[in-house]
Amino acid sequence: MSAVIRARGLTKVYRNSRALDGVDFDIEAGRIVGLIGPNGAGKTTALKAILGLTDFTGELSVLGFDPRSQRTALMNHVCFIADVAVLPRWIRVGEAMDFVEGVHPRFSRKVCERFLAKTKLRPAMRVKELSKGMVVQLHLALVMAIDAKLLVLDEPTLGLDILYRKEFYQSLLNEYFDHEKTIIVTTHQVEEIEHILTDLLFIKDGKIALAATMDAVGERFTEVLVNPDRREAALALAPVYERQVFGKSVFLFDGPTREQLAALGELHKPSVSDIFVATMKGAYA
Amino acid sequence: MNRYITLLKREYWEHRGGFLWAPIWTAAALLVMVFVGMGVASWHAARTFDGEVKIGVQLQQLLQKVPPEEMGKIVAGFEASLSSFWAILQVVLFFALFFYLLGALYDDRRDRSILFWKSLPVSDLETVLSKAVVALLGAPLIAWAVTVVLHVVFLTLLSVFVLFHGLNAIDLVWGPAEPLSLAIRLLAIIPVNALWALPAVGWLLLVSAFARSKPFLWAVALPVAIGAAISVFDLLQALRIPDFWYWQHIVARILLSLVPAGWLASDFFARGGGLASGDGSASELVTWSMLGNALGSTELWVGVVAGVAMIAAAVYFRGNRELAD
Repeated sequence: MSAVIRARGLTKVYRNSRALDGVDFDIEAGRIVGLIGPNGAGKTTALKAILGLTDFTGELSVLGFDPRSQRTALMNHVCFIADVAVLPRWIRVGEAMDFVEGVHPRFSRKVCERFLAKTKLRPAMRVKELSKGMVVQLHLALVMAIDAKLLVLDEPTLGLDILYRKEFYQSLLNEYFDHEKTIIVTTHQVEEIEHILTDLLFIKDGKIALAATMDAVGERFTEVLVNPDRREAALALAPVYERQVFGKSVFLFDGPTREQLAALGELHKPSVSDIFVATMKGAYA
Repeated sequence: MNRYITLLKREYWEHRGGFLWAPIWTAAALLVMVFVGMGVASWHAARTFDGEVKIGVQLQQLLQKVPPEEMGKIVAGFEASLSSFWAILQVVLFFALFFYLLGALYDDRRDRSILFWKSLPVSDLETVLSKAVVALLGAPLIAWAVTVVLHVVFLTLLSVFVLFHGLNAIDLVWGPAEPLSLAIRLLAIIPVNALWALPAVGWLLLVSAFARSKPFLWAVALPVAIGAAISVFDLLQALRIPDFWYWQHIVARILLSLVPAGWLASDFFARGGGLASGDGSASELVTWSMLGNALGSTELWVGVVAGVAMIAAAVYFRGNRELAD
């Protein structure tokens, strides 16, 4: 498999801060990558660099294009949904379809209309009359009707209720994603998407804190519920995180095998949020 | 080709209020005023002549005896009234264009919808050019079409009025008004206007792409403040350039060149304030020779170069400026 995105020494310096600090990563085709980090960690900056929306230093190749100089060509193969408010408020649903159809060679109006038929959206409606959830439905319908290789989602479901959020990821997974396509998604609602992700990319203070497939993460990280009398033994194995639950300690280990840990107490598969919290220790300090 | 039409349509969808409905409502208001005016005139006529309108026949006879030079005054009168309708619609167009251009590359950065536009395979050059083309040709053509319709409806109303008084509408209205000739000349003005307006279009697009906030202030206050400073300190005086030059050739060109047929004023001053001289028909407010003069002037072409340079700068900033907050 070839890398869809390849970054080497990707750096973006704003006036007072380094949003990205010499980041290296590769994203392969056919993956769903969660780009996860605390506020201000550089997620959005990384996405903007990938989309050619910001200047940067270092090397970055997206589908073989340099996003700085070849944004227009790149956009034939990349789709992008930022958070809910970016569709222009004045546009009508039908006009949005007409426009994308007019400028995008890989857009299928039929497919778009099929998706819209499942919603309450009608061509004459204006974006400013729609609820947030309906705006996202429209944007998703437009994007899913484009046969793109890479889909970038930046907090796509921010501010939506749970019904819209579930529906969003369900249609994305069932009706859009295949092994030719790659999806990068950032969100704070990690627990809602962890079951669809194939890869994790944690970003902290402009640096990659963790880059691994979900399978590897499952093997590397183990959570153990430890009674106080075994706490010392657990600490000896260098846990990456500890929290207290009902007088017991919950340890998160990165590395030790399940066999090593089984003696300490009850084993659990940690959630991505647990791993995230452990990895981001001190991010705001 | 289709994609360029789509880009132009996009501008129209967003701004049809300013480009289509504003001139239509203005035209409708003008027609209502004309209609009321004719009503008042009829009522007056009816009162004055006690209902027995024999003046129809008399006027008809009068008309036949009208000497050619008097007929020329009727022609000039029509030219003046039809041109004033045109001028009023052009004022509306000016305001629509001024604010359209100021917001063209700014509003979508402010409401973040630029992230949507930029997620589509449209280059910054195409985006900026589509907006320039709409301002230079698209909107003026719509305004022209509305003007022509306004002229036709006005002349039709007038014909009904004239027929009602037993006169010949062809001789009295459609002949002297020469609506077709005027429409063609007003259409021919558009490309000259476009060339003349390039520095203003360039400047406003540049500010629109550049400003992080308050594009109006940037666009207007900056050149005016510089001009004020120059006037106060007589900076250019020391350089042996009168400060009037700055106001006339910089401020006026980058802010007011959008005023339709602004080059006429330049032409007017250049001839020392005399009225249109030249090719005979003095009744015509816009003559072919004026268009020729304008196209031959260095000032126009210097402005074209400056305008193109500023549009290029706007394309650069469109690609490099981030969101406005």
